[in-house]
Amino acid sequence: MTAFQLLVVFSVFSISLMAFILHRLGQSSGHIFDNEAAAISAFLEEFPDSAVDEVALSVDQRTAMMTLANEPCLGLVRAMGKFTLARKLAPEDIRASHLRDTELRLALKDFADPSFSIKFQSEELTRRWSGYLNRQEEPKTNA
Amino acid sequence: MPEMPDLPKVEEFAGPIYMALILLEIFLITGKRAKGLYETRDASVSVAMGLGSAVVPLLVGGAFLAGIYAILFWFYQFAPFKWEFTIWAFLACFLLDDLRYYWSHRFSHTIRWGWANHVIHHSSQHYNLSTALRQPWFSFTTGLFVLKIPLVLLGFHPAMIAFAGSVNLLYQFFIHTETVGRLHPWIEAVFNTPSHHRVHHGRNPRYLDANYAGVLIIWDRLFGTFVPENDSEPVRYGIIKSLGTFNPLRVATHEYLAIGQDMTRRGLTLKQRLAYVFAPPGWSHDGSRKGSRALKAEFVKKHPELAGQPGLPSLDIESGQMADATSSLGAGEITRNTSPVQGTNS
Repeated sequence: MTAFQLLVVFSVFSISLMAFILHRLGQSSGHIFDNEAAAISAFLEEFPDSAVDEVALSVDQRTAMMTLANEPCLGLVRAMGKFTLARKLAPEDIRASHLRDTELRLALKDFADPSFSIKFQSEELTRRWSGYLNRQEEPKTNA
Repeated sequence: MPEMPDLPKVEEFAGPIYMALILLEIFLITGKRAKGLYETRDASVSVAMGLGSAVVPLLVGGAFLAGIYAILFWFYQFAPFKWEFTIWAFLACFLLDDLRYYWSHRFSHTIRWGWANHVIHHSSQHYNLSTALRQPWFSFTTGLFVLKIPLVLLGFHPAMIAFAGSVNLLYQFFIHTETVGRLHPWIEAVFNTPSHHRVHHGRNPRYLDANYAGVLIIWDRLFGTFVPENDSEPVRYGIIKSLGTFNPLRVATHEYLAIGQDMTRRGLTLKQRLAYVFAPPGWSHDGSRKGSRALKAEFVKKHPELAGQPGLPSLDIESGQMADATSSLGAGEITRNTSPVQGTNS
């Protein structure tokens, strides 16, 4: 076996071992938002100048979508490892969306953030947020 | 030509040491005996990126690497004096190579072509020993090897320079950790430490564009880029626009794709197209994006009481700096950590 082959075998073994150990130690769970306020707080940390009107937290509490006062886009915050990732989403950012029961799947145009899905509490809620995203339905706003 | 000894191959013995220490750090952190965070997919991608950084150059960049060493050897013949392989020569080489590393690293943050490669290393929001292995795949394309030419002309054998670089990277593995707080003040004064390097990985405005050092932090102190870790402002790691993927291929190539998208936009001049490649990361022809300077200025406007602190501009010179930055390329300025694809998200 050459040094190159040895390196590849060793690395693959190491990654597998480390992933197995981390998983067994419970480190695969990622970030969970305790409630809607926690999701809003995570979003505002990235976009401190925005104001959130309405928020919907996913069933697994790892993703939340929100309408923003006076902004023609939606806010999105979701778990990324043990941390969070926040985005502002406009219809032009979306390549395709797929709605199934209570789940909304989105394919994005951003190569570094290609897709995600969010499961809402009900089909009605899922349709409403899908409508917001496609600007088929006007968000309720307090502004 | 000096006789070349068999230099230790750092990469051959480093792998097991890296993995043993990563596992130790995992057990310390999960056992609540040390500070830090690990997440399975993030750490797996980091180590996979390390594997890619070793494999990809050999698979697709062999000719580049051979060419780079051929160029260095070509310059070596013009060195008026050639150092023998002694410990003193190595120490001198290591010191100068560390200075070379500082500038190479700084250019990797301030030239978008370099940043497209280096962003890989900064793309995790986690900061632990596995992050150290999250290394770029395309370093052979940056052209920054030219910074080694002065060392070669000073008479250091290319193999000695390569060995010094390997030792430098080996040292840097140990500073990618939150488990170590601050070391003795003398060590913090001279060496790059976990505390200093945490700052370098920070995306808080005050920590942007700071602490480029490899082994010796003196270069940052000398060239005005040193920012100490501030206990009242915990470091938020990663890049301004965090990645939304754990796919290693996307992590490795996303900024190159963004450069391609930007420079092929319609209606740009040739100068603007070139600026999308070689200007600071995030530069845009219409000034629509924000970079580290703009982010720092914005932060100081909101927190004027912090103006003038290390890493933050003072209020009175802020407008002048901005004017300088925007006039040179005729549009908005930006430096590291801002994704040029969709402008800033902060």
